[in-house]
Amino acid sequence: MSITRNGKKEKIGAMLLLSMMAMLILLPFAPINVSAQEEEAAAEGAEEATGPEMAKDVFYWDANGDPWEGPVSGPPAPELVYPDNYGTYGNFQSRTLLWISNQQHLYFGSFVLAVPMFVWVMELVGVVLYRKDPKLGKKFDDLAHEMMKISLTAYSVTAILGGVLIFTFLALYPGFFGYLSSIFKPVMHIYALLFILESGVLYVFYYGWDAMNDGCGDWKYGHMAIGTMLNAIGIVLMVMANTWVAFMQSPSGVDAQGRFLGDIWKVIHTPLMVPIVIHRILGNAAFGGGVVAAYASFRFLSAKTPEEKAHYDWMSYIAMFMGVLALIPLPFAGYWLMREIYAYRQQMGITLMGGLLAWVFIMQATMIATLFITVNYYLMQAMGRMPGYERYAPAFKWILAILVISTISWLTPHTLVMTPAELKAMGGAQHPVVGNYGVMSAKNTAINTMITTTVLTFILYQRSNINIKVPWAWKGNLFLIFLFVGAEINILFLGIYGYYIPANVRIGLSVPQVASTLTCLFVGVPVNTKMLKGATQIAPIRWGKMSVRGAYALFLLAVAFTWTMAVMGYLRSSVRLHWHVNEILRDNSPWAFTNPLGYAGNINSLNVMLFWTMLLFVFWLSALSAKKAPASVEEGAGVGKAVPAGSH
Amino acid sequence: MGEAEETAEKVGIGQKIVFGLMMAVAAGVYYIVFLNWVLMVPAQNLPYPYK
Repeated sequence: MSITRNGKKEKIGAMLLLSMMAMLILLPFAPINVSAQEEEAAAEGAEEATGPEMAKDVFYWDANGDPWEGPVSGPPAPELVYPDNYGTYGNFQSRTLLWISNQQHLYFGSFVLAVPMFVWVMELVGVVLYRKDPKLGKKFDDLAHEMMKISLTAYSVTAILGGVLIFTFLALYPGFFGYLSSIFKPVMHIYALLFILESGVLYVFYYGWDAMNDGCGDWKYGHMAIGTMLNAIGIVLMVMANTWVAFMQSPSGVDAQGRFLGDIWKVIHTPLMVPIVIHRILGNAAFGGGVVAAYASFRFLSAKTPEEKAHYDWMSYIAMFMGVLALIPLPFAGYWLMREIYAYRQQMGITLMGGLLAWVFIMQATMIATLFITVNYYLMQAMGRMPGYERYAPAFKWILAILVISTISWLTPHTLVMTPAELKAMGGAQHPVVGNYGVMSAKNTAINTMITTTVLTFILYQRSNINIKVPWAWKGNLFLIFLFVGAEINILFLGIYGYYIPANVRIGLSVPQVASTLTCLFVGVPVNTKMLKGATQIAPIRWGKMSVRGAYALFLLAVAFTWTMAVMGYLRSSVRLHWHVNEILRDNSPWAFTNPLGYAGNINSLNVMLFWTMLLFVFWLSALSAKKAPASVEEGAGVGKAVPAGSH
Repeated sequence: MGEAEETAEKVGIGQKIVFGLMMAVAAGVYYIVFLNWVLMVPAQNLPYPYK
């Protein structure tokens, strides 16, 4: 089509470019045999014919059940001394400065890694739809393109914040940073190279969007291949950064003195690495969805024309939907991570959930409950633009009641902070009635109920403006009723049953509980979708007629995501207590203590505010460039053209 | 479309009760027996029900 205007030359050029990128992506892995170099260096260091000194790994075991032994390939962890190995900046706490720079970099990093995932999905949806309905396909393609535009500005901010973070490390924690760099030396260059590669691929992906847009032709698939590459690099980058924090929390591949034992994979694959990575990928995706939804909401509220309003209303829904898709499995991934933490060091788990940091979990519970209530509230508000929703409106108050009851149970602490007099009056730290709801049996029941309810709300949303026409509709409805009622009865039953059995059996109950919830999601939603086949619409969705409070709900959603990330990041980091690297490298700075809750809450709030201030700047920039775009809406399946952000 | 509506109207209450009972039994078997037992005993090697 229009892309073929210069025929072969462009094709050959793009193919060359693609091949070059494919080679570049393999480059970091191919020629450098680091482990060989390390072994060589270790052998030299160990001197003469005695061979390298061998030492026992702190985590890995061999087939006989003995600690795995590897050649000592690095220096021991240094004993850090204050102030020699720590820097200060005025009267500020160095730890807080590092905390803020880390958090800001992480926010933007998460955002720019999550958005390409959505973009990839949206572009794919666009291509698939293009075959049947070019106009609709193009609409999704434009949406993907616009999402990418926001990400592009944020990408520069991420890189700048990464630089700030490195300088903060070097200036304030040089001893720690030196040790961590020495351990990860074999892969540091890969990270740097991938970062450069990511930038290149990102720019080709974004700026090549229009030039490679031939609807659903070869060029479009080529563009999607670049998008796949972009996501692959992004995920590898994120995994690599996660391995550093996973190593700090649960080191392996080193001996008790912190000496590297020559096998970088053992350093990367620490006991907690996989669950942390999974949890973070999902978290990033949910967070990215929330931020894009907030962006669309911001544009929706500031839109001048009905077309613009309709476009951004739709965009905010899609982004919210993608975010929630990642949010739903997130608690399960978190649960898995906690289980692995308990398996790794029981004391660490207890510090987190039943000890020093348990109240941080109450903060987290507040945020998670806020997230789920907000999602439900948004969906209910969104139904207002779908004629026919009145049929389901009476259910809203009951759904909200279930969510509120679950939230109250979910927030109830096991023990309370009290004065001795209060303690005496109550007869112990645990309240005789309310205390019963402060245990995992009640909390698992609450969160599973909230998720199941959210799935139900989504099903109602799907049906809002629809008259179902399939002949088996009554069967489908009965099936769904029993599916949901059965799941909820089972969730409640397992929750209550948990009170009567020992803890080691009780913890296993969470698996069938989660499975009940997931059944509703993975069976209920497809059945409902199937029922909507051939259905008639009472009236089309009135995009742009979203209530203002519904749009504001998306801001709440995005801020709640941001705050949850801050609080949980703080939690995961604080659980190392006085260790930089758990049980290997001790934190000897004056800031090795655990922060009071109030201080942690304030810094988290400061981080959230800083991030949103910067993000507003990013949004404003995106809106600014949109203004320059032509105002006319291109009808039909226009291809190979720049797409005005405010049209569809 | 009209045909489908007609079909839907033809379903009697008895038919719905029978189908509902079948679904109730199916849900019971699925949740109580399949999910709970399978995911506790063979999958996690934990006693279910606990005695």
